[in-house]
Parts: sequence; structure tokens; C-alpha cells
Amino acid sequence: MSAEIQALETQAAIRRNAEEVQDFLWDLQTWEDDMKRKDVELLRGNGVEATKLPPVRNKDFQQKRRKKQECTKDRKDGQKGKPRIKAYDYEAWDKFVDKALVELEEEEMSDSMSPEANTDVDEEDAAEHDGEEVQDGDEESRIEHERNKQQALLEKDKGNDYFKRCQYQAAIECYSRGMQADPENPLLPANRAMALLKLQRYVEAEVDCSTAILLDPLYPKAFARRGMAYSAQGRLQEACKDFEMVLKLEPGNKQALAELDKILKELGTRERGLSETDVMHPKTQAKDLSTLTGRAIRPISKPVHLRSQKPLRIIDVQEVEEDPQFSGKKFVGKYVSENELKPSEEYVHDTHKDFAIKPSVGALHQSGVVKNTGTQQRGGIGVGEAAMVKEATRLLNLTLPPTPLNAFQLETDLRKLRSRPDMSHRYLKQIEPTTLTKIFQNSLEPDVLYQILHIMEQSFIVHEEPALTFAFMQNLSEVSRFDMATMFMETKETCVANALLDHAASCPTVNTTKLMELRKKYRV
Amino acid sequence: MNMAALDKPQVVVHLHRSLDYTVFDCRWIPRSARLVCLGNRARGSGLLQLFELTRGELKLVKEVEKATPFKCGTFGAANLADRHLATGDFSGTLSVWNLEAPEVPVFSAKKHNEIINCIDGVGGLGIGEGAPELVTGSRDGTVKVWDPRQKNPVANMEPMEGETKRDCWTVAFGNAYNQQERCVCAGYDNGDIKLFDLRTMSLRWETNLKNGICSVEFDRKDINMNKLVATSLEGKFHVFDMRTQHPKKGFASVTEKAHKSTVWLTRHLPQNREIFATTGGAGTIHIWKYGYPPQRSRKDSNGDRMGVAGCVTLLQNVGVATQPISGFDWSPDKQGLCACTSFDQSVRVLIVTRLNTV
Repeated sequence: MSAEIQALETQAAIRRNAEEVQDFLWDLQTWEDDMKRKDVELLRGNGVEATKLPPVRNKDFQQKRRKKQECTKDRKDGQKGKPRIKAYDYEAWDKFVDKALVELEEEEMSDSMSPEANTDVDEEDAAEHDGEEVQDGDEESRIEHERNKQQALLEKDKGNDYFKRCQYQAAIECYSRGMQADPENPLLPANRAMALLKLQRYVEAEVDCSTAILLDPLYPKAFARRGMAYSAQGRLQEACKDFEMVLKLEPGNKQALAELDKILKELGTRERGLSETDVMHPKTQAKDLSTLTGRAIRPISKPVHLRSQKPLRIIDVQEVEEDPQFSGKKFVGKYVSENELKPSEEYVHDTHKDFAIKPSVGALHQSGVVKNTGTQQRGGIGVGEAAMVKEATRLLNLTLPPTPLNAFQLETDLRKLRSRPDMSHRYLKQIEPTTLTKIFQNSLEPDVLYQILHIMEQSFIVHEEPALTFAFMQNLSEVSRFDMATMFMETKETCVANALLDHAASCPTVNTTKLMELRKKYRV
Repeated sequence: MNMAALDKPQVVVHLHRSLDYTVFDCRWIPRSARLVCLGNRARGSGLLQLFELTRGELKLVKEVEKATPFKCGTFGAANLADRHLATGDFSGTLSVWNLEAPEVPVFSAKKHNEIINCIDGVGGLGIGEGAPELVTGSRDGTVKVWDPRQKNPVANMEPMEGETKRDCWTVAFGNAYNQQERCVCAGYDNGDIKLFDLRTMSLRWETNLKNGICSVEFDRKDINMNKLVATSLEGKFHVFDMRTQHPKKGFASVTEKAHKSTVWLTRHLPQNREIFATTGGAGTIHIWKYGYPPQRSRKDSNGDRMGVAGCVTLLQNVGVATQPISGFDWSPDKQGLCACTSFDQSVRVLIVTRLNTV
């Protein structure tokens, strides 16, 4: 009997155990869901508040120990004096010099960390190049690699600092060290090339640019710098190719356009036999284009692959002012006859129908309209008689444009007023000097700067107070990218700046130290 | 079968997964249903695998291979926000990994000359007062305490010059009940157990158990030292009452024979610290319960206080593997859920029932 009861109890116990396990498993499932929810929440970064950690253990102890060690060391030094380096011990001297140099460098770095200044050397991060890195199974070498990259970036920054302070040789050394640490970064050779260009070591600069291009075949600045190196060596054909490449990569790059123009002119004078029309004038084209687009329209320059793929279509545009002789053939849509023209419409007249047409070289060259507005102002070649007359009347009708709101307006206005120095003078004068930084933002082009400087030289020195000149010079120098613009100044421009600064110096209220700073900024 | 056996907690292998590498350690990721396994590939590289419990299945979520084999890992010093895993490897490098981005370690320092056998952490996950710290023990004979905010160890315990360097097999944190107090207990291959006081930076206590110490663990890290379990090579384990230290005799202890083979590990149940598991060289797991004596201390003839050891009772023993169980971890979030790894190249998820009623 008791055995039977025992058997039954055992059975019940086994059943109970099985149920318990079953219950546990059920429970586990709900727990699992619950946990996963909490887990995801944690991964998202919710639900945990940051706590302030106590200090690291034994921190003061270590410092104390270090101090103590130093103390004992000092005492020893006191007894023995510093161990002299023997004259024949070259290795020790090498080490000593290296150490001293490093110390010197660090000192310099620490006391002259200048606030952010814009220069031509690249500040951009090399992050994009990091991404291409190959996954390597070998962890150690990967970390090493990472470290080297970091080192290279550090060197680059250091080099850029030197560059800003015009210590090109030191900058070159930094970049070289960076290149050793990370030979895959195209920024380093490109930056070194810039520094070499500054030192007029063109052949080396060219080699560096080629390296940079090898590393990143779509790096416009490398092409631009190589172009400069080539042109400085007189290898104009190659330079021309490089600048064209820059334009391909960065359509509308002002510097490239200017350089290309210069080179082509030079080529033109060299090969006088070549007919003028065969030589392309990208600069004039660009200028004309910007004249064509009206006042309210901002320049849009997109790389080829980003441009709209839709087929081009012709837009009907009201032609306001053009001579029917010109517009009749070219323009679709009706036009407004000349006698309807009012002076206030001056700025509307530029609105051409050519908006939708890509600024392709051929089309513009044939259009003839381009010549009308662009080349003519420069007293260009092959302009029709009628256009000449028209231009004259236009100039007479010219009214003073209002104060510009952005760099683009300023540029267009200045171009229009180019042949009227008095107007340019008045135009510039109406700009409040302190608003210059606002107007230019980040788009101070060297050309514009030089133009402004020329206007100021022609008129301000004679007509204006030295204080105003000073205010203009001062505010211009504060525009970002000013450093870059002055970098390309030639002796002509430097003379102009010098004359202006001399004029400014005659103002009694001007601080001499400020003036010195300005002179430095204008590289006078 | 007698009734007594049926009234005990049951240990059931819930999930079993074979692996293709030698696995040394496993850890539950806090506040998750995920599990990390660490080990050594046959080709000599280290492997870290992440498993997730999903509907009665152990799903491999992530796998990270590194140059050197991993020996041990802990989440003890991690905060809940990022749950970084600290590992020790064969080359003597301590690394801290962000498991979401395990390509590069968050922290890495190679200060041990030889393999790091053991690691423990405190101050993270809300367990233990004070700064998060890690401790590593290595074959080079040193025990180093780390603060992951600094590259150098904050404390380094090594044998005096001239002394033989013993292989440190196990380390554990304890006594972290306020910002200053903290202890590290280390066990060595010659049977030495040393208790280092990190506040006074001194050796507080040492003893020798004649056989190599495979594992030591405090019942809780975040209270005034209470109990310490130390397992040894020849199949015994000792439970020390750490509350009362006698000037001469040290701490009182009770010794129990178990497993008939090396006791590889001991782990306290986080939800009830009187219960702990030991794992054996024959692939067995024993669940124990410690019982306190009526009086935890008494005065000796000199009037010094000395501790009185309690007793341990075996709750359950079960064989789950054919090879030694090298890694064992209770889930901190679910009572009765645990995982173990063994040298038969497998990871198992076990459930232990009736732990709340014992």
C-alpha cells in the first residue's frame, strides 16, 4: 500500500517538475520579448542617464611619485651637472638636435595658434579617403595603418599652419612627413605642391601634383596647381590641358578661367600666324554669360553629371532692347522696339533667351550677341558699326546701380561700369565699408578684388578722405578668402595696394600698428 | 528514484549549439537576451561570437575575428548605455570592445607579457560604488587594475624581485561598498590566494590551499565583503566567511569536496547570493547553497574576534558535457537562466528551476 502511494507521489512530483520546466519556458518567451524591447531601447541610447564618475585611482599618487623622481633626479644633476655630450659622439648630437627642434616647434605651435584663417591649402578632411580602405584580417597592421593616417592628418594641419604663416619650407617638411606616414592621401602632395609653387620650385611642384592626381584623378586643385607649375615653366600647352581639366571637373572655376585666358593670350602672341578666331577665349565667354544672366539670377554651375538630362527647349522671351538687326535672326518670340526703351529698363535688357542653352563653346561663339555685350566693352575686334553706336548710347543712359547685396551683383555692376571710372567711384563710395564682409561672404574673387583696388587707386586717392580708404582696405582684408585672393597678386596689384595704403596712412586717426598689420595682409 | 531528488531544483539543458572553435568564456550581455562567446580558432586567431535567444533557438548574430585568441571577458565595468565588453587575450592585451562597432577596440593596452588568464570588472552596470575598474591576472605573475579612462594600470601587483612568478589563474573584485573601499582577490597556480586592498594599496590577507586555485568569486561585489568561494585543482572548494578577519587565523572557511575532478569555476546566482554553481572537469555542474551558522563570529581566548564558517548543501548535480566546463554565466536579468561553454566545443543554455523556493 505504502509503495503504491509512494509511486503515485513520485508520479505527481515528476509531473510537477515537467510543468515547472514548461512554465519556465513559457516565461522565458515573454521575458525574451521584453528583453529585446529593452535591448533595442538601450541600443538607441535611451533609458540610461549619464553618471559622473569618481576620479581615476592613484592619480595623485602617480603625480607625487613622478615629482619625487624628478626631485631626486634634480638633486643628482646638481651633484654631477648635466652629462656633457662628447664632441665626437655624433649620434648623441643628432638626438639632441632632433629633440631641441621638436621642443622649439612645440613652443612655436603653442604660442602662435592663430585664429581660423582661410588659405588656399586644403582643410578638408581625408575622411572620404578613409572609406576606401581595404578590410584587412590582420588587426595589428590595420590599427597601425589607422594611426599612420591620423599622423598624416596631424602633419597636414601643422603644415597648413606653417603655410598660413608663409613659412613654406617648414610646411613642406611637415607635408613630406605626412606623406611618409600616409602615402595614399592626395591632399598632402597637393598641399606640398602649393608650398613648392610659392618657393618657385616648379619642377618639384609639378611632380607632386602628378602624384596627387595619380592618387585622386578627380582632384581639381591638383590639376590647377600643376597647370600653374607648367605655365611657370613655360610649358603652356600642358598647362592649358590641365586648366581645361579643372574646368571640366569644376565648371566655372574663376582661377582656371583666368589662367587659361592668360595662357591662350600668350600662345596667341607666340603663334601670331594663327587666326584670332581659332583661339578660344573661355574667359570672355564666362564673363559674357554672367552678363547675359540678369541681375536677379544667381550663377549656377553644376558638374556635367548633375545637370538635368531633359532635352533643351527654347523659351519665349520678350526681347526688350536689342537691335532688330541682331535679334531678328537669333531670337524666337516678339521683341519690343527700341523707342520703347526707358533708362530704368537698363538691367532688364540683359535677359536673353539663351538661358536654357548650355554654355557650350561653339554655340556662344556663333551667336554674335556675345560679341555685342562682351567683347565690345573691351574694345574688342570685329564688332559691327551699329553695335558700336548702340553701346555708346547705352553708356550715356547708364544710371548708377543701387548698392549691391551680394558679390555677384557687385561684380556685374562693376563690369558694367568698367568704362566709366567716375561712376565706378560713386558706386563704390555708396557701399558702406563695414558691409563688405557681408556682401562677399565666401566669394571674394581675386579679379574683383583687383578691380576694386584699381578703382580705388584711380579715384579714392584723389577725391576721398584717407579714412575712407583705410576703412575700405581694412574691411576688404577681413573678407574671408581674402588671403587666397592676395596670394595671386602680381607686382602691378601690389603697387596699387601699396599706393592705397600710403594714402590711408596719411589719415591722422589711423593706428600705425593696424596699418602695419594691413600691409602684412596685403603682402606689401 | 527517491522523492528527495524530485524536490530539488532541476537543471535542464534548454539549448545546445556546437561551435567550430575552442570556446573559453561566455557572458550574457546585460539587459538583453544576447550572449557573447569568446575563444580560439584552430588557425590561431581569436573569435568573438554574439548569439541571441530567439524562440527556443540560439541564433548567431555577429562574429568578429581578431588576430589573437580571446581568453576571458567581462561586462563588469561597462555602463548600461554602451555595454562595452572587456577582454583579455593570449598576447596579454586588455581590450574593450563596442560590440556595435567591433572593428577597432575602444580601449587597448598591452602591459602583460603573457596570456591574460582572467578578468573581472566592477563599478559598471550599477554594481559596486566608485569608478569602473577592471582587473586582469596573467601568466606573467602580475595582477593589474585598470581604469579604462587611462592607458596605464592604476595598480599593479607583482611578486617582489627574486620571488618566483606564479601563474595567476583567477581574479575577483569585492568590497566595493563605497567610493573608497575596494578589494581584489587573486588565486595562483601554487594554491596561493591573495587579497589586495586597493584603498590602502596593501596585501590584506594571504593563504595557501596547497592546490592551484582555479576560480575565486565574492558572493557580491558591492557590499562589505561577505563570502568568498575559491575552487581548486584537485576537486575541492572552500567558502570563506569574509566578515571577520582574525589577526592570526585570518578568515574562517568551510571546505567541500565536489566533482571528483578539477573545479573549474564558481559563479554566484546574481538574484540570490547564497546559491552558487561550480563547474567540474568532467562536464558536471553542481548547484550549492550556503547556510550561515547561528553565530557568525565568536571571541577566542585572547578576546580577538574570529569568524565561524557555515555549511554548504548540494542542491543539484548534473552532467551536461563530456569535457571540462570552461565558462559559465548566470543571466543577470532572468533568474535560473544560465549559459555554459565547454571544451567539447559547444555552448549550452541551461535553465534551473525552483531557485526561488530553496
